Amino acid sequence: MECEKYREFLWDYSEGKKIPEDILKHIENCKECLKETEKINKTLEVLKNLKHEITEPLEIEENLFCRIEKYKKLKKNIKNFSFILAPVSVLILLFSSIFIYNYQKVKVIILYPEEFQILIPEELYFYFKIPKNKPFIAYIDTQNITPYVRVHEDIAFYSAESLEADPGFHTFYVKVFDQKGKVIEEISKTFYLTNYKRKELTYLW
Amino acid sequence: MDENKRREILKELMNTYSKKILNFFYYSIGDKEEARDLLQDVFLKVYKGLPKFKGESSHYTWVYRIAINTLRTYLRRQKFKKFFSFEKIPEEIHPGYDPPSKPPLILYEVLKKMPQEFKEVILLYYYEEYGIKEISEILGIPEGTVKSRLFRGREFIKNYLEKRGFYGM
Repeated sequence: MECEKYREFLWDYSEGKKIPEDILKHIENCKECLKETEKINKTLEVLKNLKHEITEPLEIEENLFCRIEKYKKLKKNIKNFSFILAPVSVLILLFSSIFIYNYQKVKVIILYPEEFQILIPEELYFYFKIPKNKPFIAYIDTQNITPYVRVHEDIAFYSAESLEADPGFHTFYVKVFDQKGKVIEEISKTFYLTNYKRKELTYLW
Repeated sequence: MDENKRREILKELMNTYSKKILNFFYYSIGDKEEARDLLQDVFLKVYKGLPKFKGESSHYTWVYRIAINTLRTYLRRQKFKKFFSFEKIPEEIHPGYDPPSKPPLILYEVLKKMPQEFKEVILLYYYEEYGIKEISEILGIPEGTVKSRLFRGREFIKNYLEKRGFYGM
């Protein structure tokens, strides 16, 4: 089992990287390690195949510039109608998916780590607190971010991780449905993402 | 930012990175069309973000961060769809790679089985040929974590190949 601690160095050894003298000495005199090195060499041979480029970005550019034009138009419209009205157009996106837990009406409380400004660490979640053991159906969506919500007993949370790529206004919607699909609770909150590098958000209203 | 300038930079970034990122996506998800769609998403985000990009990090770190986040969001959405959907979605998100003859099939097989956090590091290291420091910047994780994920990813591949009798032992 002594060899176990040299495992990591075996890869460096096989890739011809520099490793400490004493470890090198052990590896070269140890049957187990040398056997392991053989496997590593074969694995590296397989990994070499990763250098192949196997597909081409065909027609990407044309499609992309079409989408940019659409985006610019949308942005212009948003400016014209002010950012408060803009998210309304996005409501249409709301119905692509729903969670079913049960059917009674419940109150959904949105919690934030801080009132006016949110600093987002590596991965932060917006918490949507739901009273324990109360059944609900809810759906959360945002303007530019792909919806992704996890539900854990009494909390549904939204990953804010992808925010960093997309600075600007982001509206979070929460809809709670009864079992027949009727909306019984609607909440929306808008943030302005001020600095995607530091992942900093300013709370607007 | 001037629109012409913005598009010029975008085109430059596309020329430099689109092929690499596309293949990175393809290796990650095994579907050419989906990979192309994701690539478009990435460059749309790049276009949107360009006026705010202040060059505090290098272009590759920034573009790759966007790419990784786009990929992660996509993968999560797939998982999420699978989990919450009322319709029955087949077990496999993608029925299989459509691989060319060059790289051996076993490589696709193992990549498909590998946990995403290892796969990212393995692809950035062996396919994109980035160093530990660069990968740590792109993924926003400490170098030590990159090293341990790289090690675990490599061991994962080695063990998989071993199970499949690849070493003939």
